[in-house]
Amino acid sequence: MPLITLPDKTKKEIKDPLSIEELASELSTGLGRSVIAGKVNGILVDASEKIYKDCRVQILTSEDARNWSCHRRWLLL
Amino acid sequence: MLELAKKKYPVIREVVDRQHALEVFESRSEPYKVKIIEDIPPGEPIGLYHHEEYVDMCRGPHVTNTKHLKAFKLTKISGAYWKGDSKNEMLQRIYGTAWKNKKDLKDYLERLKEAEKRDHRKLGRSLELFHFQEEAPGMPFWHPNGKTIFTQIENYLREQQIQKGYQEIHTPSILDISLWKKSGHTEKFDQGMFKTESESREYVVKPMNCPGHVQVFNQGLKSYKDLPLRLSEFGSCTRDEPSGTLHGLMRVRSFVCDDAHIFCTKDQVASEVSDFIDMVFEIYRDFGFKNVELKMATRPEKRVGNDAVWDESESALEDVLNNKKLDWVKLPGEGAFYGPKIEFNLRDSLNRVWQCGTIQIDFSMPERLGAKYVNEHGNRQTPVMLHRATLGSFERFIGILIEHYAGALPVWLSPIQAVVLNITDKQSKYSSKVRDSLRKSGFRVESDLRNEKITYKIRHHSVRKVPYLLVVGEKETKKDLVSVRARGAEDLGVMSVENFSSILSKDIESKK
Repeated sequence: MPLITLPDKTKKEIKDPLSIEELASELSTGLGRSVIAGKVNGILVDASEKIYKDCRVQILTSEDARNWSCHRRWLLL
Repeated sequence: MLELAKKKYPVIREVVDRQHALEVFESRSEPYKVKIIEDIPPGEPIGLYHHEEYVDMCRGPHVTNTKHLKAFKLTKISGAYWKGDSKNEMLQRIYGTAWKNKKDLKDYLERLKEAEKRDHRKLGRSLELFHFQEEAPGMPFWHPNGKTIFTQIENYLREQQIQKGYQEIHTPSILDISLWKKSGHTEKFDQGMFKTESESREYVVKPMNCPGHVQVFNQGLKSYKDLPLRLSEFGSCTRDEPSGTLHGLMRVRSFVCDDAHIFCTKDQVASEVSDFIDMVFEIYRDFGFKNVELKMATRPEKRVGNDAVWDESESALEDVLNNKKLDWVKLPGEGAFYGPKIEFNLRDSLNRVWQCGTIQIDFSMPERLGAKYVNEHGNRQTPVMLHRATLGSFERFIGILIEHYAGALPVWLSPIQAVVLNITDKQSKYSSKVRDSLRKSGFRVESDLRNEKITYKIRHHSVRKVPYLLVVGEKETKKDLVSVRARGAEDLGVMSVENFSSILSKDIESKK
């Protein structure tokens, strides 16, 4: 069972494998509805990305997008 | 787009190998994607995104369902040459943005409009601060107005540093590659360095100033009594950033760093870091930034030095931050290759966050480059090196200032602080006299003696965001006065040149 660390430093054991989306829904239904992407060990990933091993996870919603204006990486292939 | 959002269909990601991706797009007759795949190094996985019957290819991330796209706006349509080369076919690019709800979308579009108005590249042109051109990608040409801002910042920082016990030096722009090998830069930073050669020796155009500063430290034997030694340089650095990442002054290839290196003993690290934090807050306040956020970046994967040393330096930084009771966030894995760092982020008037200042602990480079001092017991010991910068890059910081103030810089930084405008030709001599006397007092003043209507001249200089316009007519000339208009069309009335001088002096002193 992978152990994940959330940005507020709380740790959580999760079923293997669990996607970022599923994790968000487990944390709260509101978060599950608004999740648009995630970060795993600092790397931007899809909300559908599954977690297989211990890592740091951040759930991103459109609230986070407000702060993205300075470091967007759109149009990258 | 509305229909697609309403459908709420899932966007499914599939990671495939190159061969599979080629087959997909060949069978779909999508030659451009095939060409892109051919340029991707073999072995690299390729991300496909399935949109019902359509297949997209992207590194991502994408939302997993179109239900997230209900509040959207298509913002722009433009022609784009394939691979940015005008010899190639023209393709069409459609830009859009999507938000959680209509309100967020509206907020974003308003912020975008405000940001466009403040775009430093646009203001840089209209205020005649700098320009870029094709032959120097990512390397600005500073014009007189821009260079004046640059010099004001440099003079201010120099004064701050002298007060805090720094000593200024100047080191070469290119150094033999052997030094960069010893320092570890060729190993960890090779992609970012411009190289050159002469008489069969290879050189590196400095991407940072640290190895040069160690050379200055190494001249003559240092004693513990010489520490802490704080060497500063307004150092020109050049980095080979990928051309696609360049953006106005915010991301450049050549920049000046307000760099300094503090050589100290282990015991002095905490107080040096603490003093530096105070200095950064003071400097940002003087530039008008009150919201500063602190982050601490810890050991990255690519690094030098053993873990015990990393433990020690990371906990040293944490202790300083906690002792000062500051709020801070940890950024695991984002430290420099030689040590952990504290990053100072400031929020501008549009609430955007910019990373500017930094202080980094380095136990490795002084050792690699042979820096030594004699300690209290007469033994040779390696000093600790603190890399630090308050603004980071002058270029980027000026870009931030321009956008923060929408070009209307505080008086102390304004390239032109006042312009004297005559109403008719008869006052041209007096106008020049006023200008010269203010210049003598050390102010940056111009005169506009063109044979144009006064309303036209006032408008012209208001658009240039000059803080004060001094209008001079017959009445003023007779009585040795000036009629003062402050930025924002505020009428301050008629006054003597001396009184106006003291207004200017007060503004400058209070950093208004």
